[in-house]
Amino acid sequence: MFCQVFLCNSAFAVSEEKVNAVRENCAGILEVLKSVQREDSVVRTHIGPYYNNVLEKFIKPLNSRLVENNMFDTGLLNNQSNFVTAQEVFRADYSEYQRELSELTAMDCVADPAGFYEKLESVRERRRVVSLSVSEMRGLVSEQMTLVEGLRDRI
Amino acid sequence: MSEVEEAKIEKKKNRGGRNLTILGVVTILIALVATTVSLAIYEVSGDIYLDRSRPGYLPDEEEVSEENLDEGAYDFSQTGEINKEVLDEYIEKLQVEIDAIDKYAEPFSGEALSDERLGI
Repeated sequence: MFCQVFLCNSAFAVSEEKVNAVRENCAGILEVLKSVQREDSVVRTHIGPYYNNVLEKFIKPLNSRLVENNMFDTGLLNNQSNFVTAQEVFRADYSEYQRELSELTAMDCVADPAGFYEKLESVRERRRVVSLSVSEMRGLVSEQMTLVEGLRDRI
Repeated sequence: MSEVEEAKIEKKKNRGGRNLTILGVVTILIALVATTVSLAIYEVSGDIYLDRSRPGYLPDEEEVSEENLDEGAYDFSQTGEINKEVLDEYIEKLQVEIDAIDKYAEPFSGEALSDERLGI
């Protein structure tokens, strides 16, 4: 009882106001979380293929063609390597985020609102990490454009 | 036929029935193990989060018609010469991909899980 009120062993204290809000709006919160899961699924299944397209139909073929023409561009090769890594990181980050989000939607926010909010904070952090991985890939696509424009100007 | 021979035939029939039962049970057990392993791989690999055939995750009609626009997408050949014209076309087509990606501005932004949206 003491620890439910004073949140022993938690890294941060969840305010009483938030605990009450979670307990009172539990059903609504879970509905929103489930719609976030569906929205994420839509976004993921759209942007994933686009980024994969960029790698398989633009980045890799160009490097192969450059090699065939004895035109090595280390910038483009590095960009390909970085993109492959960034894509793997994004996939892993997204899976982990969705796993935690699924665990959150399975929690009982009436019985343990403080624990629920703590888990929510953790899921928010995971989402932020996914957002950063997407930004990384987006940055590499821009880098690809810049490098190809530079190559064109040198020819 | 002697009683001994009849008894032998009866024993063979019973053994056959028992073996069939064992075969059925073993088959079901193998199927259960294989299904459990498959579902575990499905979840651990993260493929479950990409599966839009799940109830509640099916694409909307508008979404399906949008997806059809991707047919006949550009495919840069791995062979051939490299010159300004080829790279100009490459840049133009890459820009099309970038424009499609940028339709999803700030994917996975923090707003979706904010206290305001969740009503906390």
